[in-house]
Amino acid sequence: MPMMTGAEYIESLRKLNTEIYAFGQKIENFVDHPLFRPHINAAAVTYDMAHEPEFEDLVTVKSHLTGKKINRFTHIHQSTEDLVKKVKMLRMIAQRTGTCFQRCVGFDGLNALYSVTYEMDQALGTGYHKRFVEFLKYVQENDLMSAGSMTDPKGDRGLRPSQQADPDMYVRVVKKTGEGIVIRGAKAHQTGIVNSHYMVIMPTVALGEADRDYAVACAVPVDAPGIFHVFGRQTNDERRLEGEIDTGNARYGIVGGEALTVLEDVFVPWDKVFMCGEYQYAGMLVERFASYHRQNYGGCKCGVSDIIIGATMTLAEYNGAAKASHIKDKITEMLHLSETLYCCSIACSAEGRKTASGAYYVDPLLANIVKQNVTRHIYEICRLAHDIAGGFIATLPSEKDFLSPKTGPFLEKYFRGVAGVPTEHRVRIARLVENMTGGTALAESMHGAGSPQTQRVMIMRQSNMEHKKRLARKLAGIPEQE
Amino acid sequence: MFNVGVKYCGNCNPVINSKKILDALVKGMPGCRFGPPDAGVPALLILSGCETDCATRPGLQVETIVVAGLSVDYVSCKEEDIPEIVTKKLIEIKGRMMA
Ligand SMILES: Cc1cc2nc3c(=O)[nH]c(=O)nc-3n(C[C@H](O)[C@H](O)[C@H](O)COP(=O)(O)OP(=O)(O)OC[C@H]3O[C@@H](n4cnc5c(N)ncnc54)[C@H](O)[C@@H]3O)c2cc1C
Repeated sequence: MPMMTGAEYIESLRKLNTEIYAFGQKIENFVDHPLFRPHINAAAVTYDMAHEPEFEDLVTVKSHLTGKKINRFTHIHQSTEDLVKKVKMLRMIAQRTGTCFQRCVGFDGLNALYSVTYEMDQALGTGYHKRFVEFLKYVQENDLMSAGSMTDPKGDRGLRPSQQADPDMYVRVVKKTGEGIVIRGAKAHQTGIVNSHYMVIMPTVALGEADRDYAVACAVPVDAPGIFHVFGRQTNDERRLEGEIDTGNARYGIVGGEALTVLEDVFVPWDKVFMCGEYQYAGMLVERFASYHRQNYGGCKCGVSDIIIGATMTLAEYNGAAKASHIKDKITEMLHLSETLYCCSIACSAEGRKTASGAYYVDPLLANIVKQNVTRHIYEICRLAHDIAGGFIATLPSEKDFLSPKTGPFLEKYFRGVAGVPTEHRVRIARLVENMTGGTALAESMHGAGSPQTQRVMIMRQSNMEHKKRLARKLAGIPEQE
Repeated sequence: MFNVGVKYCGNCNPVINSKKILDALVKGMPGCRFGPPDAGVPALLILSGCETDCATRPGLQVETIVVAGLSVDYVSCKEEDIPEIVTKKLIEIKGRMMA
């Protein structure tokens, strides 16, 4: 099958038997359900844009496996140019959706597994890479969306997987047969999983010998027997069931649509198993995946910030405050913060390196700097947006009150800003700012792709401290041998 | 004498001491002459200070060994093992050329 369009992608989801629960109920038709549809629309943009000549240089690429034109979200980076184009693509798509379009997590999982399975085979004589390449070809040829399933529920954070009171706190292998393996556990915070085709499972942490059963990487259809998904709540999610304006971004929603995915003794055939017991390589897989994923945030979050900044400036104009010097200064600060994120993402891509498999990997130090900045800059950008927007983003009455014959005319009158701008426009932009800058959207910047401390550990580890100390000693006139 | 062209990256923020590695190779391989990467050398040794490996390639179509930070030919290793790994690879290249 050639690259899918957005409509074909949406149709492909109807053919799955994905078991989903939300608000205490089993969801029968998630594709047309207002809780899920905005996230599906956002993911569909990644498919549609591949068919638009204006965007194809970023969204499509030639497969190094088949030579065919494929969607970049299924590609293995073959150069630093590929890494840079990934960032540009993410920014460009986020400028259209204003939210997470979910397809990068699986993309990063595929790239991490590609190089790690290769190196694992070289060192241990296993045969995972060939299997993985077959799966990858299948993904590319069918233009599939995969969820990147790394995070386990983790139970007691102070204990290793094998030390947990409940052994299911991390996904593990409970049985091996001639045909495959059976896995049990759950994956948490799974972005876009309900509207994916496959989940690419990886371990969450570096593992020791006692954790051997937890060293498992594999690909499973999201509707495989034994799998069900419980959809996570988001700030303001019920507004989707009520109307349009109050959601802010009715077409694409906010964040990615995350779920807890439960794996109750799920069978995985050997041809989809890419790590099974090789605990020594879990750490490398986690680090590669995390670095690829942290690279993204100066792309997509910068695209999202482009919209927040545009919305904030528009609101300042609607409020009649745009010419004030402090407003201009705050907007400049928002631009500075956002473009700093972009600089970091471009830098870690341009400084990318070749791996033994031939695939390219980002500079892990700079990629971790990107994400560390995101945990701060996005909060500051949103704080400044709140400052400039004014308090009405927290107190606006509902869309229904604007439509009511009794209250509507008064709201129309008292929520007006400068003359010539309809009140509804001011309200729409305010709702966009409100929904893009608070609650779930903020927490994603903090924990998505790992909590801040995980980046700090990586930053210190990659810091090349000996070199810095040597340079300092030399300038201070301390002899080298000391 | 077996000539090996050597190309450094520029060493903006090196994680290895490329010069020390080359010194060890010169000492351990008296049958090799390590010099500039001129046309005509039968083998090339790239010495990049980190894994970004940005050393400009001299455009020679010859057997090449790439040291990039803590890796040789893209396989991770310890800094102290680099001279030994490169030595083995150079002996293999020399052997192939003699055959
Ligand atoms: C919106 C969103 C989308 C996401 N999408 C995905 C996805 O698609 N796929 C996926 O696999 N994951 C996804 N994640 C998960 C994300 O990677 C995790 O949230 C992140 O790694 C943090 O894990 P946690 O949420 O369990 O927090 P915790 O690990 O509980 O962290 C809470 C705090 O405790 C600290 N802490 C935790 N353990 C220790 C310890 N052992 N020692 C010291 N301090 C500790 C942390 O540093 C942090 O400060 C997503 C998360 C969010 C919020």
